[in-house]
Amino acid sequence: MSARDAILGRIHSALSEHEGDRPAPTGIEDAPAAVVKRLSDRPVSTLPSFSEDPTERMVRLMESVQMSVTRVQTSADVVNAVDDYLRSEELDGDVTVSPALSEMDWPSHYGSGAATGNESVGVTPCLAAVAETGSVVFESGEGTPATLNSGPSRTGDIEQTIEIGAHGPRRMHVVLVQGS
Amino acid sequence: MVGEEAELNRRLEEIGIAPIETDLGEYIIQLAKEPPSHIIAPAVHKTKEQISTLFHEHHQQYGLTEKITDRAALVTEARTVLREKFRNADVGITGANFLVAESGQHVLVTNEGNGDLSSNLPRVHIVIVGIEKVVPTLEDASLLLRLLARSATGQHFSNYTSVMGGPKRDGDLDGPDEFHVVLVDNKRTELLDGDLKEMLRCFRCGACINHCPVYGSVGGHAYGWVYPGPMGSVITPVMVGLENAKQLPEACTLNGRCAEVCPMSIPLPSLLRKHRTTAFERQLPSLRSRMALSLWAKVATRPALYRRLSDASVKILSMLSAKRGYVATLPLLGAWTKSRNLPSSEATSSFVSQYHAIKRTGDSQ
Repeated sequence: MSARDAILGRIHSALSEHEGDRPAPTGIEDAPAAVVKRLSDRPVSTLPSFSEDPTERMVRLMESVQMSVTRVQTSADVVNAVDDYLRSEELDGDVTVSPALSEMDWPSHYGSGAATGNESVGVTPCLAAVAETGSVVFESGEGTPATLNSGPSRTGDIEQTIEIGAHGPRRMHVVLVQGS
Repeated sequence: MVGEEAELNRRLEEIGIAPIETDLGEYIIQLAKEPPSHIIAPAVHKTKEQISTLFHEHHQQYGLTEKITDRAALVTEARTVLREKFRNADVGITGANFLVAESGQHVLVTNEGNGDLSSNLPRVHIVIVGIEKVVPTLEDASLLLRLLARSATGQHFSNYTSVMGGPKRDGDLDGPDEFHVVLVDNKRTELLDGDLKEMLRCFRCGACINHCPVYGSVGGHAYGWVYPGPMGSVITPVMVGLENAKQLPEACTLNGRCAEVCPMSIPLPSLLRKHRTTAFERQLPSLRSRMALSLWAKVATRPALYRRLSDASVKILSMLSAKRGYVATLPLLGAWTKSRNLPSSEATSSFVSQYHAIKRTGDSQ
């Protein structure tokens, strides 16, 4: 018997006291009705409620975890907003821009494509931004898994004091397009 | 922490593989060759000076010459050394906070971002995870993620919350070529079949540990195994055998704070009581302590006798401590008085007797 079968068998016998004696299901087709129902019902969990304007709340929460936010009116203003930010922060290392943003008119010294690890700055689009938590959602590819990111990388592992820039970005800047 | 359960690092080293911990706290204790003292903050027992010494000792091979004393500089030093490890590693091993049944994806949460680097940079990604982490849908995981961040660190949401599923696909810019999941039982099905099954709800936030007065007094290493605090005192006896960890359920004041703060409503004190009952039934405590308990039960169920005996013992203690102000030795309690003195008692009768005396005075006024 494989370890997998042994584990599933033990789970089945622990759970089946109330269900009578039947063979362990091998797939979703012969899973107990309760399991199929639970998966298809998808009960919606309780959501935290808030009365704040969603955008204002999102920006407030982002800034509370050391993200910075610039608001612009149209997507035509994005390139300037990014460039202004890099100049004001004196970030003069290499920049790489996600291919998904290649339509925009980036300065010629900005690179494009996946980061090689030597760049100082990465510019990416995001799938969504979350008002509840102030998180930005990044897609791995179209319709593929995602990372929710809430601010620059941090650690509290030295004497429980927060330090920014443990492994990931030391700064996280959001350009929020508010108009069309 | 499931890696620690399996002593993964030691076993990898035995077969000539050099595992590197990537969470800063885990990295620090790996350098110190110590076990974690907290599940969320594994190096919480280390001071900045100790970490400075550790880095100075172990990072000379990477060109570190001066001792670093600044906290931010210590973080940068670890970041720089570990970044190269990430780039050169063949295999990344991570845990998972949740496994999603409906999609076959897993969810991984970190604040440092080490989970994402371990998952995406090496050619192979292996997830090692306990079977209790399976939830039905992503919706369920999102509810639990809200609870996890708040209970673990007081954040709205952890810094990095990644939903991943399998190797790099066509069109993906990053990701591993190979992806494996190792589902670990290690007594979890035994928990499911017994009377401690509520413990399977634990998602390792550490809230019970943070609020436990016993943990606060003795620290994580005193628990002797991977998991400290109330959750450890329930899990460890199951995983290593109650006979090897019988002191853990005893080392609890049953104050109930852990159950109060547990976001998963695990009745930790009740589970610890169950361990105590089992230990007593299996006659794990010494004959002397079992006899003492039986005697105690006889006295404690007879209020009048109990009161007379406690009055008498207060008087005796008061007499014994009159000369020195403390009691240094007591018959049958040598284990206790070996390392500490019993403070003197200014009272000459028990609480109940004093209470009745005050009440009588009060009534007559």
